[in-house]
Amino acid sequence: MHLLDAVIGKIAELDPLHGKKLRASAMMGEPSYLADAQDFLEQYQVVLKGRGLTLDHAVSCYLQMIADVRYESVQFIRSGEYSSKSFEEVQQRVYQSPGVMEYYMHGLLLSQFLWAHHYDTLCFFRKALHSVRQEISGYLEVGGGHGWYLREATRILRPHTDFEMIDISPHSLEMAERMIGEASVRYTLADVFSVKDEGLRDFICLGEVLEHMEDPAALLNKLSGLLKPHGYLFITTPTNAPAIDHIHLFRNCGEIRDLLNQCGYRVLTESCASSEDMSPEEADRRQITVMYAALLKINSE
Amino acid sequence: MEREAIRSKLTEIFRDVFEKAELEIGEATTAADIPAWDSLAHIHLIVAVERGFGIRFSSREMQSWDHVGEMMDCIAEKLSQKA
Repeated sequence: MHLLDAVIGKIAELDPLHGKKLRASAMMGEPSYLADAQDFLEQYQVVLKGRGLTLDHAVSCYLQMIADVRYESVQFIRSGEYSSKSFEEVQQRVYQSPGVMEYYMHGLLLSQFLWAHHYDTLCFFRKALHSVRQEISGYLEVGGGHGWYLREATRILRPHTDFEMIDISPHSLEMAERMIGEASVRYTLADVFSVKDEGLRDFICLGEVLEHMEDPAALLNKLSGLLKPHGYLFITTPTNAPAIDHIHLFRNCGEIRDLLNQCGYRVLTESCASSEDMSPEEADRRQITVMYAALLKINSE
Repeated sequence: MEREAIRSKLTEIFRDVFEKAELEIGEATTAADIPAWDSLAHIHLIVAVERGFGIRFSSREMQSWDHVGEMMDCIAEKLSQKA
């Protein structure tokens, strides 16, 4: 039996409403997606087995995250705002809570292959990274979470590339190390604002981090200082995406583009993937999540 | 509020959320009976029910309904607490 069928079957058994949504996704009929998802689940299963766990653990974590998202989504419709207001609040509620981080990181990892807008964004990341791989000898991942993007980067970029991941959560760093396996990566427990070595990075990946910030512009400005003058920044960040640890609300993709422009970045290529079967413009209008992703350079004009 | 009155009001809310004027629901109705009732629609349904009845559901309550009858049980309990 295909592992994806088993995972979605288990989800549908425990949460029929969510199972219904997953089964209706158009990508479930695409052979290339199915092969990719099978490959991911086989690799993920090995990592879980190393901890004495199975994919049932991942499904259980995923459904805890879905329950959180469901509640936060109701709160969002009630109030028009995200429920978390400060970094300190989220730090206590999520990042410093090993139990929450355990289910949240595994839930998010599974979502990379179960949610069409997450999977589309992952594919866009692979393509963007391939397009510049010959120019990259140093890769930094800021807020790498479960580590899957970094794992992909270690397989796409050239041998002897210098890899580093910086995260404020020890749990994330441990999980990423397990996910990435033998590839040579420096794992740094730190706040990126404390990093001093400026102007040295070829490529920085900032996947789903800006929405966790009180002041996303401050982070974008910090990263432009860490990049080489001709370096690349890759970002992903969602609009209208209530979650237990999201603080900054982008109401549409235009707001994100404006912020990038204000912080001195130029968009080389971008992607907007809606979480529902509708255009990004329609999703913005209905306050439904769109995942924005872009490959950027510092604007030298 | 009587159970039938709750069902009647809930029917109107379902019709509004799913944009189906002829939609009928009963205690045994589940998401499997209404094609458009998926996780996104469920969130809008919860908020519409809250607004329609003037109540608030907890996170646990939102996850606990397998069919409309259980949702009605929860609404009835909330309304009795308000009275």
